[in-house]
Amino acid sequence: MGLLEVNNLVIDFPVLSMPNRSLKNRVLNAATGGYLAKSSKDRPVVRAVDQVSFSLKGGDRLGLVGHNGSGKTTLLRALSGAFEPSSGSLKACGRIVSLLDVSMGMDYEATGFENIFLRGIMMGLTRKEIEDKVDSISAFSELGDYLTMPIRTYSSGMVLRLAFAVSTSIQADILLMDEWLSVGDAQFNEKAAKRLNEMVEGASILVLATHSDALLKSVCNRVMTMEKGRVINHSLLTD
Amino acid sequence: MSSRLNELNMDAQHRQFFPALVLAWQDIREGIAARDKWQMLGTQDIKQRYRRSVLGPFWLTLSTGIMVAALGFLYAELFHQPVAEYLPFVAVGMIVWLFVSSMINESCFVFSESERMIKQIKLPLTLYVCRMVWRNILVLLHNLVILIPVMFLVDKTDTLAWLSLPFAVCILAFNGIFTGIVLGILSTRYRDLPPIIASIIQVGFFLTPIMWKPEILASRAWFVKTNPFYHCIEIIRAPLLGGGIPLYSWAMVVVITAFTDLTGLVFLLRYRHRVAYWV
Repeated sequence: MGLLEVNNLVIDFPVLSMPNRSLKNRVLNAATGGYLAKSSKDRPVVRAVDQVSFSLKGGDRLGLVGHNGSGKTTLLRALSGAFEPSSGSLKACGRIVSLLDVSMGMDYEATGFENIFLRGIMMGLTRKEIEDKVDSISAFSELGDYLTMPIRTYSSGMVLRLAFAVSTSIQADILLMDEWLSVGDAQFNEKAAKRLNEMVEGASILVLATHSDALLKSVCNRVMTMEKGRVINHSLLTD
Repeated sequence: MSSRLNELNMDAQHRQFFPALVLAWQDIREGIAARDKWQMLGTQDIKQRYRRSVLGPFWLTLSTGIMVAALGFLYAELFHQPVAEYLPFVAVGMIVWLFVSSMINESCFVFSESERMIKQIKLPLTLYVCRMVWRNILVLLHNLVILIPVMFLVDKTDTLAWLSLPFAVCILAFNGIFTGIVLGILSTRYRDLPPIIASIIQVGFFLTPIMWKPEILASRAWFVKTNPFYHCIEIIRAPLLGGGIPLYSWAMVVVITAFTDLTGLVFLLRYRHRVAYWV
């Protein structure tokens, strides 16, 4: 179980600046024709991921390295299926869990319990699955009675704890991560690190974008270096 | 369904006509099927709007009630109509209008309001549209409470024809889904569209027989008969006010539905893969 195949993947972001986003200009262009119409067709694009190919199977732990803007995060997002490839293809088997933005979908006016459900839905769980997990999630978060309060009353560390507890409550086959997650105070962080380790070990494939050499050495067995959206080096890591 | 969720197969080749059609169809089917998701998100939207207020979502009922009562009494006087006849007419018309028009207005924002989700996870686009429609169904249900006292004024209502009402609400909601897909995609791409739609809707309110009765315009009946909003309202208003089931309006609504469904499918087919890039 667990397979991730990427073939000549290209992700192009159109730059929709004001001129070509507005209907007025489209209409005016239609009327004036010629030069302007041409320039609006050649919309500038940012090629965030350029002809990337790789194939991962069970047991592979891929580390993505590269400067800011080299396309690591976009590649991770594309792997989660959010962006349709501009060209090329992407195949994945297994449950994909993305820990790129653990607090996505949380509502600050809603209570902790409601947020467990909201966040769970965002992770692709069904209502029933979340109901089964609610107890273990609230136990892990150690938030106790606070869970019945709106999370706007929480400290930012508490919100992150809750988000972390929900996000790591499902077993992933393919795990996508942008840097190692660290949450909460020293004591909670230790517990969180343990849980994350279990999740990483349980996942059959890991793709992790990182700037840390130490992390790369301790977690990954492959490394892929990216520059300007392209892969410039893909190699096995050996101790 | 879970097995499908666990498989991802994306290929730029899928943009050719037939694979794209299959994917568009899948999007609609899976989006509508993910009921627990859109119900939760839509309910949360309503809760969020009224959190920390004492009346909560019943503010919806109250504010619509106040508006209907004010309009009902004032315009009954202006149009020289008996309140017992005019007030129910305005009440039903207004409630259905609010349902239809806010679905259209909110259609423009279905994708931009879920930007963060769309850019992170793969879910059917139709799901975000269903969230908006569900939210408006909840508003409609709150507004329907107003009709309870109002219906006591109507003496010749047609209880048997009420059976058609759930179908009427369903077909309007169904239209909402497909209108949402079309307008949602268009306004994600062209940001001038929402204000254009909003002004059309505003004018539509005055051109549609909500405050005035269609009989007034008897000499220009075509003006009313060609107004799609009129038919959307009539399929609910007529049975409630003792006019039976309006077959002509139903036929028109079915035609409109066929048109919105087809347009929605074409838009999904052509632009589904672009939405995440545009939001």
